[in-house]
This record gives sequence, C-alpha cells and structure tokens, in this order.
Amino acid sequence: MNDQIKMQLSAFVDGELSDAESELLVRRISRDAELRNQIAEYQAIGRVMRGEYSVRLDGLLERVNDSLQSETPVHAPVVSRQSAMFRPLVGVASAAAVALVALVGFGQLSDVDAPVTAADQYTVPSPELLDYHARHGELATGLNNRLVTLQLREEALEDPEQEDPDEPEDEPAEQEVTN
Amino acid sequence: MIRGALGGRACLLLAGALFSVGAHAEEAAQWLEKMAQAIEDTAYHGVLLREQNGRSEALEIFHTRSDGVVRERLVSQEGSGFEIIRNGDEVHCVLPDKRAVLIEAWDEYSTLFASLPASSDGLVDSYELKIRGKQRIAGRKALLMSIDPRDDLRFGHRVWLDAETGFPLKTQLVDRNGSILEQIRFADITLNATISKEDLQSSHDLSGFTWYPAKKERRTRISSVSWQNNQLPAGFVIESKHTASLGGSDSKVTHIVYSDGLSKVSVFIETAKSTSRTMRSRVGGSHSFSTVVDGHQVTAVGEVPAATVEKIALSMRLPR
Repeated sequence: MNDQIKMQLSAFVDGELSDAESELLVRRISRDAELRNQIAEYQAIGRVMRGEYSVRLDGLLERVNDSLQSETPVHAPVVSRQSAMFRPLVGVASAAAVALVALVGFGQLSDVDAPVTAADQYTVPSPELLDYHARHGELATGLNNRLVTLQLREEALEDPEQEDPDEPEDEPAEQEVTN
Repeated sequence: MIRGALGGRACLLLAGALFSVGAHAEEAAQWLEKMAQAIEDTAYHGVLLREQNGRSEALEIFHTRSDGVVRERLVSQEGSGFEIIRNGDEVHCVLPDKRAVLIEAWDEYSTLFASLPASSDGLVDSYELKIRGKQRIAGRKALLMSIDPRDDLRFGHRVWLDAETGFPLKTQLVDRNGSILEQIRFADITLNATISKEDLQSSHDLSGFTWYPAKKERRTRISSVSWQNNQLPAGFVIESKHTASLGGSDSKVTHIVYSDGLSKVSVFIETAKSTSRTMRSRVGGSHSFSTVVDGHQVTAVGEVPAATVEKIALSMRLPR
C-alpha cells in the first residue's frame, strides 16, 4: 500500500475526505484486490480493538462491496465450481469484511473466509453430555476444548445450589454478586 | 516417428505429473514438521480471533518457552476480559468479574495448536496432505496446507503457515462440504517477539480473589479393558485407556481414547442409571453420542462427524 493511499484511508477514517475524493478512493480500492485484502486485515484488527476506525472501515468496505456488485463484469467474483470443498458461501456472510472477501475471493480459495457455522445449527448439550465434552477436552486437547472446560467451571461458580467439595469454605462476599 | 515422439512426450508429462504429486505430499509433510518445530520454538505476541458455534472472540496472546517450560498469557478482549496465565503445566484462569482464579493443570505442549499433528507419520492412510496456495494472513505471506480426510468419517484441517518460519497463522477445522466448524486466526502477530516478565503477569490485582484448585479426579491408567470394538472406522486405534473416579463418588468411569493419528474420539463407559437415555449434541467441531449398551451408559465424544461418534458408541461390546 503506498503512502498516498494510506493518507487517503486515514483521512477517510477521520471523516476528512470529501465526497468526491471518497468516491475516487472507493473506485481505486474496487480495482485493487491486494489493497482490499490489506484493508480487510486492518479492519479485522480494528474490530478487535473495537475502535471507531473499524466502524468507519466497515462503512468503506460496504461501499466498495456495493461498487463491486454494480460493476460486475470487470470485478466478477472468482468462483471455482471445481468441488464442493470450494463452494462459495456468498450471501451467507454478514460482516462487511466477510462479504467482501467472499465476493472478491482469492481465486479458487474463495470460501476460506466463509463464516464459521452459525450458532443456530447447534443443539445445546445436556449437562451430562457437556461434562463428557469437558472430560474429552482434558485428554484430547486444543484451545476450544480447554475453554469449554473452563466455561463449565465458571458456570458452576454462579450456582450457589451446587455444593463443590473442592471449594474453599469461606467465600468472599464478592461471590454473591451476580453478573 | 512422429507418434513415437509424441508418445515420449506424453510419458514425460505423465512422469512429471506423478513426480509432482509425490513431491507435493512430501513437501506438505516437510512443512508439517517445520510447523511443529515453529510451534515449539517461537516466542510470539499477537491478537487472534477464535470462532466457534457462530461466535467470534478476540484474544491477545503472549507466548514464550524457555528451558522447556511454556509461559504464556491469553487475555480475552471481550466480555469480562478473562485471562489465562500458563506457567508450564500450571494454569491460572483469572475471572475478574467473579473475583476468582480457577487453577488448572494442562499438560499439552501447546495451548493453541495441540490439536494439530506434529508429523505426517500415521496420518497418510486416513488423510491427504497438500500445499494448496499462497495467501496473506495478518500481513504475512502464508502457505495454505490442507489435511483432507479420505472418507466421510472424520474432519479435515486447513492450516495457513507463515512462509518464512512455518508458524501457523490461521487454522480451520472443516467438514467434508468445506463448512468451517472452528477457526483460529491471527489478526496481528509478532513472531520471535521479546516477551517480558510483565507481559506474563495478570493485569488485575489478585489480592482478595478466591482461588479454586483443579477438580480432583483420580485417573488410573489401565493395561487392559474388557470392552471391545471390532467395527472401528479404518485407522482408529486405542491411544490410551484408564479409569477415573470423581472425588467423593464411588462410581468409576472407564475412558478409552481412540485416535487415527489426528482425530481423537473418547469413549466413556459407566454403569447405566435409571435415567440413562440416548443423547446427542455438538460443541463446535466436537460431537457426542450417548446410549445404553449391555446395561452401561456408553458415550463417544470427538472432533469427528456425528455419524462417527454414533457408529463407535453403538459398536462397543462387552464380551461375555
């Protein structure tokens, strides 16, 4: 990304770019896949930091997205139909970055940034099964498994009915505070 | 003459294609080893996004390893801002809004990447390894490696490796349709970072916090188990077996772990109760299936499709 684009992006984020200049920026980004990838990276970091930067970049990416959709012939999504594995998930995505990435694609890897399977496709495990999940997680490990175990222990803290023989006897008053 | 020349060229092309297939698998295997080494050796600091069950969560991580001891701190950037502080096997999970610290004992070599294979040994019968392309992740050049199952009974992995060091910048657990079940992705990372003592300490004042020790579960490794399974999916073998009893309870659970070199399935067996029934569920990429077999509650849990845990649980047998 060159300095001029960086300055323009920065001005856009600060709300200091005129409408005409913003329009030019959107068109420039629409033409440059590498630039879009870099902005998507910045946007992901921005989302992490929860700054306004990210909100404004969302807006910018949405405009780029709209622009791409309206001028399809040149910037048509590169969608591979080679196999089910690379099936694009256009339309499922909601966040601007995801939509953008799904739309412009990375050649045949166009679905690799598809959303992770939605929450409504999950059944809520019964407490017994969740306990087995946690125990499995203790031996067959990975961050996600470990966090399931921790979440279970954390939830047990919230329940004053549950007597845990391992719990210290004198609990501080703060334990009473529900969150 | 012309036909001969063409035939020769076709042979060359064919030989080239065969060579490249073999070379690809070998190249992927070498990258896998490079990755395992990078996971073990690299000190890093970054922000990662963890996605599971349709939810995404950002975590900041500081990680270093010295004298064989892993030291790291993970800080959730959302919600209550919990922290996980790891010093070798001892793990403290700081819950600031509950003013509590949960103590855990973790023995895996890597908190983030323990579910990735360390080498291709034992994998190739059930999975196909390939380097598929290049992409940028967290501003770095990365190679996409896929580990695809050869049947419908297990899930695949995609790992984006830093082109320079082999460090995994992004990992996905995917089903046969390419749907992503779990994902860990660095949004920003500094490899070979200098991690200070302060980076590894809690940012909260822990005085007045209540400390909860790890659950006391007595686990005994056993040399043989009477339960058998003659219909395991190809490639799965027993990795470990033991009995566990929860503190305060007399009932024992037999726990058998099956592995195909990458995917693991736990089978838990205990005496059936009057309330025992058939249950199934899913947490991220983990599926479980529980049912009653020969008067016992048999539960299979693993990072495999629902059909696989069901098949394994239903084919457990207690020989008479």
